[in-house]
Amino acid sequence: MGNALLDGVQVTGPVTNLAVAGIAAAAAVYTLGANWIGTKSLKIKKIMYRNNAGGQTYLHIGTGAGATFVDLIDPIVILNNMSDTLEEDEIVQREAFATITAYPEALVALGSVDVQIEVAEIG
Amino acid sequence: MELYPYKSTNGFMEPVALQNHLVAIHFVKDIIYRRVVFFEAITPTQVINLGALGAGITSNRTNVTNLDCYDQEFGQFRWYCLDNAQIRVFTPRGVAKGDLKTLQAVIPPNIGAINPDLSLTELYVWQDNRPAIEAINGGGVALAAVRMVAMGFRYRTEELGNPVTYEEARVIAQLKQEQNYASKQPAELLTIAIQQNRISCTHVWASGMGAGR
Repeated sequence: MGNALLDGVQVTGPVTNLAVAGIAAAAAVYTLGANWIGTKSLKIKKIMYRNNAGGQTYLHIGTGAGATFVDLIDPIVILNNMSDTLEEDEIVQREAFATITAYPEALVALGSVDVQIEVAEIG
Repeated sequence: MELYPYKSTNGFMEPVALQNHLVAIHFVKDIIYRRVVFFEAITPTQVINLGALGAGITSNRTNVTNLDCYDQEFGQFRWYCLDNAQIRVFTPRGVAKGDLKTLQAVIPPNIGAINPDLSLTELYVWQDNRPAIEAINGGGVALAAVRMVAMGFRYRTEELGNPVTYEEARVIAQLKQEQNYASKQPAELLTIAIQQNRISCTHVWASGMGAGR
């Protein structure tokens, strides 16, 4: 039996181009806004990504950047020149109480990764 | 029209009383007889965030001051927790709600799946006699937040005075013909009518009930 009270509101983030590799370059892929009243949290429902000739690498998705970065889910292998999608069933429903950020572990010269996520805003 | 506490419906919830209805608000040992003069809906709103709670930790008992009502008002609320914690409720702070002889019931985090209209979580707040809650994180993972969402109705009330409805006027006239009550004022007679079940009145309990009360 589902629990609609906890479903939240499903919202899509923008397509974000990650052109710099490494944890220090972790960039926002979904910005957590503030409620007038109460505390919001996010659960990732869908991830779309495309590797623009960046070479095979890992895509990290979490919160923070640099020393404060924490993975929300296990890093995802992304293949060179390939795009893919992860749906809700394949994503651990870990809750984030901060803006969601992402970075590729490594990139070949002039390569980049595009990421777009859909989240449920809860609260 | 049947309006009563804890009513379970296909939708979410119904008001427990309407304009001009008589209510008896039970608060610990007091019974306060009032008439509803205004009411409005309170849409689902986060009323408290107890903050981070470690695995296996019980929070301090915390007053939910955001559920305070104005003077002369009472609130009818149902609620649930957005996070994976069990919640114990106390109204007022020293008196447990859902108290059985050997345990106190909790609001579980999956209450919305078990009791979708949250009817079993209903509680009443008389003026600023707000409830207090404790949360326990029974999971193995620390929680970043323990957020409670409440919804319901607020009711402005007034002291009993002259009869408003035809039925009240009829019952008062009837009482006045009885020898014991002939000299009493309408407000007293309305109270007597309620106490003797001669007129309809909705009773709500705005507190828990401790052992032996």
